[in-house]
Formats: sequence, C-alpha cells, structure tokens
Amino acid sequence: MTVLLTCYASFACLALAMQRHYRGVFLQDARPGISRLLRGTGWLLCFTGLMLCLQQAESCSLGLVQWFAALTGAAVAFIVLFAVAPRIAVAMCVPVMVGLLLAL
Amino acid sequence: MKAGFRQSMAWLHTWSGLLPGWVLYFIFVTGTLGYFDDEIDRWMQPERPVGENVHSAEQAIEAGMAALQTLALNAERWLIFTDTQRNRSDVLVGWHDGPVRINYAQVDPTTASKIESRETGGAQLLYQMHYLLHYLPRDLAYWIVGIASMAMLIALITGVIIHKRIFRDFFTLRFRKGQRSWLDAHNMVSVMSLPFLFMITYSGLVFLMFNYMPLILQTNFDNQQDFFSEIYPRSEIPTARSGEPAEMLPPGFFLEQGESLADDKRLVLYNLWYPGDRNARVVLSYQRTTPESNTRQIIFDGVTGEFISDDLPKRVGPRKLNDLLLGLHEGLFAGPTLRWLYFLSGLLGTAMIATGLALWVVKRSRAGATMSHTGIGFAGRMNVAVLAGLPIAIVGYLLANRLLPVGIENRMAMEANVMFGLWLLISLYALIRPRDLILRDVSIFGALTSLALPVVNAVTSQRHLAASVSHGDWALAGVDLAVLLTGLVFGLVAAHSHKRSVRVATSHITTGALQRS
Repeated sequence: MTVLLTCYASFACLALAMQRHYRGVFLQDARPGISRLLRGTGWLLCFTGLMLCLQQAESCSLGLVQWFAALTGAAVAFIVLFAVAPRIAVAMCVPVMVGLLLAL
Repeated sequence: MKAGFRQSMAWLHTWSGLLPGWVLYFIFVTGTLGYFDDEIDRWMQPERPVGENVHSAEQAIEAGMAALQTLALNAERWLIFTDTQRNRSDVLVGWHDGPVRINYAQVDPTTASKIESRETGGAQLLYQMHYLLHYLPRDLAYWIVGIASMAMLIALITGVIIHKRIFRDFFTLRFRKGQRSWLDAHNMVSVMSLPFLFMITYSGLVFLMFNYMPLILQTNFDNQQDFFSEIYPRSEIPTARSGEPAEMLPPGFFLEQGESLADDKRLVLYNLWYPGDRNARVVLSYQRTTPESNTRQIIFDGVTGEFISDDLPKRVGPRKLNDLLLGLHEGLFAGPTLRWLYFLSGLLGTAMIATGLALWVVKRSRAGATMSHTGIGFAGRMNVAVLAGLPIAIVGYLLANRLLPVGIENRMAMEANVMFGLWLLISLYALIRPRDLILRDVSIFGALTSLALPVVNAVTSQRHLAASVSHGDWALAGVDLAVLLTGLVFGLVAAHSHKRSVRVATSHITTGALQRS
C-alpha cells in the first residue's frame, strides 16, 4: 500500500515536470528549476517505491513483480483522476507525502 | 516496402490486432476472471460455508483425513488441499482410485462431513475457456489461441514502435474528443499495463510451446518421455502398496519437520500415498515465496517419518525459467493486493483490445461516412455483439447457475449453453437492428440483467449480498458487487448512447427535410 502511494506521488511529480501539464494545473509556466526539481523528485520516489518493494517482499523476484504491479495501479489511478480533475489529482499528493513521511 | 518503416508497422499493428481481436477479447475476459476463480467458484456453490472462519492447515488436514477414512479408505493416494489464503472455508480433498483420475469432495472443516454442493462448471470452466475456448476439440482450440496470442505479441511490439510520443503523451487523456479520445484511451491503457501484457502474452505461448513447436523436441530426443523425465525427475515414491499394514505417524509430525526444512511457509497440498500401508509416503507441497509456478515437494516416509527427498535442489536452469514464466502468468503466489492489481492489469488488457477494435471502426466510419461500407458496418455491429455481449453472457452464466434446477442432467453443460445461447441471441439482434440503436438496446439489456443478478441471488440462495457483508465475507460479496458495478456501467453507456441516437435521429430528420425542400 505504501508502495502504491509512493508511485502515485512519483507520477504526479513527473507529470508536473512537463510544462504542458504544469500549465494545466497552475495556469502559468514553471521555472526551469522547478521542473528539474519535480523531475528529480519523481524519479527518486519511483526508485523509493522499488526499494520499499524489495525490502518488504519475501524474495527479490516477488518484489519486482509487486513494483511493476504498483506502478500500473498508481498510474491508472493518477491519470484517470488527472484527466477528470487535475487539481484534485495533484492535491492528493500532499496527504500522500505526509502519510509516507510518517510511515517511514 | 515503399511506404516507410513506421507506416508498414502501423499496417501490421492494425491487422494483427484487428483480425484476432474478438478472440483475444474473449481470452482476456475469461482469463482475467480466472484470477478470482476460487472466489467465483464459491459463489456458484452457495451450499458451501461462508468464508468467515478460515481454518488452519492443521485443522484442514485433520478434517480431510477423517473424511477420507469414510470416502476412500482403500484409495492409492489421498490429497488434502490446505491453502487458506483465498478465504476458502471448506476443505477440498481428492483421492486416486485408478492411476489417472482424481475424485474430489468438499469437506466441512468442523464436522468432517462431505458437503453436497450443486453441480456447476464454476469459474473453473470459465477460466479454462481462455485457452480451451468451448465446444471445440482441444488441439484446434490450442492452435486458435496460439495464433491469436502470437498476433497479439506482434501487435504489442509494433504498437510500441508506432506510438510516436510514448513519454510525452504518457499522462495525456482527453475526453469528448471523438476519435482522439479513443486513441488516448487505447494508448493509456496499453502503456500502463505494457509490462504485464508482454509477460502474459509471451508466457501464454510458453505454456503450450511443446504443442506449437514439437519438432524441436523430436530432433533432440528419441521420444518425448525422455525429455520430460530429464526435466521433471521422477519422485521417489514406491509404485504400489506393499500389502503389509502399518501404523502411520500423525500429520502434525510431518508439518513440524516440513517447516524446519523449507523456508517457504505456505503449505498448499498435503499428499498421502498408500495410507495405512508399510509403503506410505507423505508429500508436502509448499507454494514458493518466489513467483515460480511449481510447488516445492518434500517427501517423508509415512511410517518411520524418515526424510526422503526435497525436489528443489534438483531443478535445472531451463525448468526454473519455465516455472518462473508460468508462475508469473498464473499469479497464484499473489496476496490480496497483488491479486487485485493482476486483475486490474487484465482489465486494462481487455480495455486495450476493446478500444483498439472500437478505434478501427470509428476511424473508418468517419473517413467513409458517405459510402457506408458493409465491412465496416459489420465490424461495428460485431463490436457491440462481442464487447458488450460477452459480459452479459457471463452474467447470464451466473444467472443460470442460480435458476437452473439443482440436480438436472448435465447441469454443467447447460450453464455453458445458456451463456453461449444468450451471446448468440445478442449477436443476431446486433446484426438486424438499425445500427444507431444497437449499443443502446444491448446496454439496457446488460444493465437489467446485471442489476437483476443480486436480486435473483437473494431470492434463490442464502448467500446474498447482505448476508455476505454481515459475515465479513468480502470475497463472496465482491462477486455481487462486481456484477452490480457492471450493471451501472452498462446503464451509463445506455444513457450516453441514447442521447447520441436521439441526436443522430434528429440530424437525419433535418438532412431529410433539407433534401426535400
């Protein structure tokens, strides 16, 4: 479950790192520094998800399967929500991140 | 080819996806439901207890042994299925009378008595359809499924090649843009589930590789049996009873021994060969903690308790790879969350096929709107018949399970006949009705059938939605809820296509009026 949330946050950051989607949410262009920061955070979260999987799973191969599955689940949740209500989709990240920090 | 690489790939993608598309849709729907086969099976046999008090492996073995004493005292082999991960509340036992056939019975874990549940094909039949289809000889079905899978693999690879902006459009999903939306949706569901789709298609082919490529075996081995005995070494079990009766050690002893030897803690099958004989052997099968399909088998002497063998160290490399691919395909190792994600990935694959088929029709009926082409018209009709018709037919299968009288001849076959009969009727209807009305009518029918199912279930059985929820048996409630959700989706589609058909009708009237004036 924590992995799903991590992957969700990861996708949100990666989407906002794209100028087109950033504009869709904040109605202005992102400064290049912000885009880079978002992209970095996104990939970092993605990697954190993998580490969490490998740590929790009983075996490496099982961890990898869980990571791929979590990426799929989180991506679907984010993209559908992002298409319907972009701001809510992004705002969901805040409780997700807080929850994650508390859990870790 | 003159047209350039990407164009030729696009051509290949279109046709390798379209031609087997309806078969692939059938395979994906039935296969995806297979991830919840145990749960649907239990729904289809309401005589079985609710999954409220799930027993331990020890309790299962105890009840199973007691039941087998009365059911099959002199059988060659007893099997007791001990896996309780799927919220299963009865114990499945099996026994060998002859060399091949296994008889099965469900046992109540508290009373150790046999449960008399209705005859049904269950979800097992539904799941078998994803590689055996139905009404067809086995080999023919294997070849149809194999060709469709190969075409799907080609469509996946070419799909990645022709998708120009796989990363830039990763998060793009636009609604209400006609053809553009269909393409977005098709891309989105495919890209999201791509790792799963490659895995499931490739491993699906691996399952039947000896059927599809028998020559490779024949050139290297004199006969197939040599190959299989090299890959799957024979287990050290005597071939017959000794004829000398002997006292066996209690199951608890073997469970303790097994746990100390294997780090895989999930016991799924307790086997007992030649019960009550000097040659008795106990075989413990553990589900691996990796995704490999074959269980780890540890064999003990049933009388002395002596450790005889563990098959894990003997497995050769190619076999491990094979086990891994098959295991990933079956997903039996998956816990509840992962199982749902497997199911979701299956649904995404199904959606990919459905949107692809719809896209083909949408694209062409727009381009040639003026010269209404028979081929495109037929494809459009069949899309509704297959894409909407199959889920309705499956709901019909569940309805038949509740409505056909218990105890009639060939009940199992009748259930399947209801399913395919209903599907045939929907298809015929789709072929004769005016094109604008098919989707609306079929969806209304789908919504009504799906919403009726929980009601019929409540009237005809004790395992209705409210009862399942109050017992906390969410696996069972999930079946009712999933069908209800399907009904709601059909309702939405019906409302949407009703608006659309009204719009089309008014535009026909206006164009007609314009032409007349």
